[in-house]
Amino acid sequence: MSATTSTAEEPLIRLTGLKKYFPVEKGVFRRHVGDVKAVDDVSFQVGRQETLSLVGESGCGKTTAGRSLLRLIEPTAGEALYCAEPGAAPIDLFELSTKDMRRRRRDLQIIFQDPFASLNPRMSVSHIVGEALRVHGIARGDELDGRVADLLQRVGLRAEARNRFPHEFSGGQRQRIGIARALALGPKFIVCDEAVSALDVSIQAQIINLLKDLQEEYHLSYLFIAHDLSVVKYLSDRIAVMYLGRIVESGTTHDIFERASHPYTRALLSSVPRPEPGRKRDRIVLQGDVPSPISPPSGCHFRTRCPVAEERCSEVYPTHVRLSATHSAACHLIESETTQA
Amino acid sequence: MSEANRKALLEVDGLRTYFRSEGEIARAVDGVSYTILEGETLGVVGESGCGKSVTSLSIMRLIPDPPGWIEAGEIRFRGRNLVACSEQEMRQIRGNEIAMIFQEPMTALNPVFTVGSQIIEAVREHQGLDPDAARARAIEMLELVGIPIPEARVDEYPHQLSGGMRQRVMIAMAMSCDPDLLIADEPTTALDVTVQAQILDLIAELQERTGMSVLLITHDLAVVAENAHHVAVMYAGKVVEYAPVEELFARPRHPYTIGLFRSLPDLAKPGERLATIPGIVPSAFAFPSGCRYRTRCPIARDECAAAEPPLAALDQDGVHTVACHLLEEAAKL
Amino acid sequence: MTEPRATDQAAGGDAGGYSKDYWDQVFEQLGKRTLFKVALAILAVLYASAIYAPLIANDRPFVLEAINYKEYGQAHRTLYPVTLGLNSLAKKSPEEYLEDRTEGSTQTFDEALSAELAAASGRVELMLSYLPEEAEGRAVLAEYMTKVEAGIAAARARDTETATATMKEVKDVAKRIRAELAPPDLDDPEAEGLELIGQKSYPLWESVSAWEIFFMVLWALVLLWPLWNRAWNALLLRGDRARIRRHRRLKWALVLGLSLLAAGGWKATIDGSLNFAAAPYKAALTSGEIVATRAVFPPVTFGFAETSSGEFFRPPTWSDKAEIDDEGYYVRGPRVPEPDVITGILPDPAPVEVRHGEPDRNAKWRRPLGTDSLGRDFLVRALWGGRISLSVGILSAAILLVIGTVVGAIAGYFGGWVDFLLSRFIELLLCFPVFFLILLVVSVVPPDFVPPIFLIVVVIGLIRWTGVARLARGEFLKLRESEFVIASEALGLSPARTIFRHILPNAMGPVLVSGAFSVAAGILTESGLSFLGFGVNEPIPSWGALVNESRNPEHWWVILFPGLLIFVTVSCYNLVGEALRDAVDPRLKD
Repeated sequence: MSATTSTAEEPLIRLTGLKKYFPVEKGVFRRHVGDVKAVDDVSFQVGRQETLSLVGESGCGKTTAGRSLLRLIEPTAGEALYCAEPGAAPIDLFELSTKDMRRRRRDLQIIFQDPFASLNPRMSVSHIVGEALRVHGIARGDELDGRVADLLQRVGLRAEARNRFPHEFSGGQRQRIGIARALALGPKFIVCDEAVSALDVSIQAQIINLLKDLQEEYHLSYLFIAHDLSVVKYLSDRIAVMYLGRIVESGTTHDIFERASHPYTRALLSSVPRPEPGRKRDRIVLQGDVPSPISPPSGCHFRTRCPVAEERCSEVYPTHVRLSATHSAACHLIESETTQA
Repeated sequence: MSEANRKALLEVDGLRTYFRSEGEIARAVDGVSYTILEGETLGVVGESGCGKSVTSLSIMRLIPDPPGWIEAGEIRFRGRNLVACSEQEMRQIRGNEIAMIFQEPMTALNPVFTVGSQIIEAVREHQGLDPDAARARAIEMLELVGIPIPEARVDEYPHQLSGGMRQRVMIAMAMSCDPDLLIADEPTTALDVTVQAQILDLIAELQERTGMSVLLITHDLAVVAENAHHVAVMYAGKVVEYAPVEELFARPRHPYTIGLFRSLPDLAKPGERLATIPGIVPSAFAFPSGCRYRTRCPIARDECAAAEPPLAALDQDGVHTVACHLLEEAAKL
Repeated sequence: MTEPRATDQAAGGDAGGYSKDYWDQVFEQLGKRTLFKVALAILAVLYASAIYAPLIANDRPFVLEAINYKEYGQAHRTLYPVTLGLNSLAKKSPEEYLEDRTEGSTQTFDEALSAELAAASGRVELMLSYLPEEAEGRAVLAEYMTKVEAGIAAARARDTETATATMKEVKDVAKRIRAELAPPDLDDPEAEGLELIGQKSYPLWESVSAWEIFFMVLWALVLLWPLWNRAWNALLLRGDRARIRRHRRLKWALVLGLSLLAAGGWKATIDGSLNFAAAPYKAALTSGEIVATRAVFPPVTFGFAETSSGEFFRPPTWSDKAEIDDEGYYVRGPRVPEPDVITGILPDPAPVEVRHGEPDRNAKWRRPLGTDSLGRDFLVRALWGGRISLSVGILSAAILLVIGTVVGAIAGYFGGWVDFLLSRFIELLLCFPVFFLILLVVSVVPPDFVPPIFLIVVVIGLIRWTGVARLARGEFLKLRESEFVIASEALGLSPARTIFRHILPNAMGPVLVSGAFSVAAGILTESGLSFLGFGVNEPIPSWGALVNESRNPEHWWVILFPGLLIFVTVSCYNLVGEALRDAVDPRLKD
């Protein structure tokens, strides 16, 4: 799995300037009083057979970013260039008509967090997995049954499971059904929205392995949305850290875990408990909670909790500073830090 | 903190808590024994449905009856058997000597009362303080748990606080009567990682200050590693391994514990496949015969199905106990 | 518990065998509730009593095999004068006829012949129909007809001679008929007379309409469901539960199809249009105008509109205050007649007429629920009244369910301004007091234009859907955000498919529950309106209208029995709704 995307080759997904604002309305006449800037100017790219992780605390906009990219939430602004084959002309997903987008969805799929809410309780497994195949006219009759059985086997379920209903399965098995459903249309890109967060440790490991195997086999690209940094570290090629609707730092997994530059990334990493008893605690404990995204702090959104904030941090939002070919961070203090070092 | 010769504060001995559902019996807790020493933290880890939370509710005698009941066993708190206590005696112990905090602080706090009045109520109930003193105590407690401007926050309602603040209020309520034992049931699962760090640090700090014991229930091995002194690993209603934290993490002996560690992505090298435990946790309505882990265990033999392995000490000191028939094979895993 | 039922595979459902789907779970949950089953059984019986009311209580007989002596006698008596007429006509030539014919008549000679022939043959046929197969008179009548036809044919051929001769013979035969085929004298039971046989007819069945047949067949199939369903599953499907599940819709289609087929067949052959009217059969049978050789009446032989003089506000006949003596005076209780203070004369007696097939005057089961101000039987009116009350509940609930679900679904699924406008509209509608709105509409629209009972149904349906709409809106709002709906969107499924296959089935549970409560509310509203006199038209009964019959506390049965029926029905619906509410969401019990 190569993490680098050569300049000559267009990445699978190139997202630029994604914004998603939710209007805040008040009163009987729904007066528009402001916006929740859930995602504010987010850009990233996902290469072929690559895993990009979006990490951050709850409310940072990572789920909204993933769903806006797939237009499951209509984005407010931005451009999402999708390049199905190397060398093909990229198309802007956000410009497609609803009908064209519906056709394009075969390439772009999603796996959800809650294995209990993500499957229609009224449908049998074969309906859940096979519905899209039938509706898109890809397979029907015996061929459909065969395809469903293959898919179930591929995600580690017995073919007999197809006549059963979601409530008869454990959380891990339901997650496998959700994965089979996403795989049915032969996608190239899958958004894994907290796909393993709700699972027990031993089940989580099974699903992580499955996702890795499927990536190898079908040359999938993942946008992995998670808050659990240990899973992210294991699975990702590259990581983007989000805080209050913006990406504050992005880089390869190595960049982020070994050379974290943004104060928020550092604090986040230091907060993660490690399964090593007696490890010297050297936490950067952040004060307070994440501010409301309706009225984020002026300038750098992180300044209210930042241990090293200065006056200029409240004036203007910092631009991304390029630290290496793969690594960048948005902080006013980075240059001065690097020059000091 | 010296490790040796601490007195036991709470001993759970052969506890069995069952539930009846549609004519069948779920053996949620089925022979659990562990000890919490004074001033120490015992971490209880296990996957969902292993009975770790039911054990703690049994200690508080908060099992809803029906459908649940304590079938057998003793819970000795300072030598007193809580299972035999009357409901009135339990009310004196609950909140006063043993306090509890929950995973979801919003549901544990009453939304129509201010946080202050909820702490004041607890303090007056248990310590008989007059209203002014109780209010002062409430503010003191909020300050203790690191809530800024406690004089103002005392009059706010739960919904006005963030998740982390609510959990702090829960801890303030729990701490208001100086409990000897704090039961923390997944206290940080619903919180973000930076806030989780704050709350865990707060509990450790309060423990240092008051010398209370903590029963920390979690599914997260990393949280246990950093916060517990002893660890009990539970599986299918039983404790399968019990040891001091360093010992357990350095030399896990039960195949289940070993499997859990191997499936942690933290400890795996990138690119390397994660080791997994096949299958799923058996239902509490029908545990496998003999060793309950045998259906998923990589080294299980016929003898594992025949008899249930007892929780036995590995060495003379008896600090590390494991319930497995095949310790030698497990050591080679 | 020895070997695990739920080791890793079994619990996860990998093993073979049957999986319960949503409806399996709902029925399993419902099956555990005794109160629900009792309520459902009561409702099934109430609906059966309403649907089969015409067959249970009616003043028409199912089968009537009777001799109408009056009819026969008339035919017999007038045959001879008709023959004389024929005779004189046959003697005439067409020219003579035209001279003699009545002033202003345009009838030709041939037309006059045809009319006379028809008059003769009609009478003969009527008489033949009453005569037994082996009767000798049949030959005489046959001879008469042959000769009449021969004579007429001759007259048509202008062969006056033959005609006159034949008609003379006819006159002789007619004389014989007059002598031999005379009916027995009804006033003299001793008198020997001609033996006649009865005519068979089916007055009750003829009054049953096709849609009544539809519901009767439907309900019979539904009530017998447990029986034939078991046989079907065991014999046809051999207990294969997967196939049983697939056959579920087929069974419903079959039940509906059979009912429709029966109704269609009925419409084509029998089709009654004699609905809602009192019939004269019992009176004629009682007076002896008709003598029945066989008359099969329903178990209760009173019509819902059949009045009875002398039985006004008669208490239930099992109570001792209901006893009436021969003259029609009450024997006990407050209605025992007292002589006038001044004249000392008793008020006029009002004797009770016991008609054919009715229980005796003082039989305990004659008026089990008493009577009303016109002496109409309260049990019968309660049975028939259920048809109105129960169908008002069902129909109004059906209308409001459809409107509410559609509006709620639109508001919930599309959200935004659509939701805003619809929600405000719902709030506006909630301000209308339904009861007074119905009063207004009923008093404005003339009752012959639209029957008020339909107005009530429509107004309830058009106004009361707001609750269902809010519920459906909430469900749609919630489900639209749920991950499986987002997943179906991500799979590129059309919005229609997402709405109908993914959201609607999951939203219908709570909506159906509120439907059950709406039926109860509809019944109560109708009862209230009918009690105030704004509901059904006389003499059609409904439970609310029955309560309205009297406000006098002495007439306790007027208030008690219909009130009890309303109470029981509404309670049962609420119990059913309650049980459904718990059962339709099996996910809660995961």
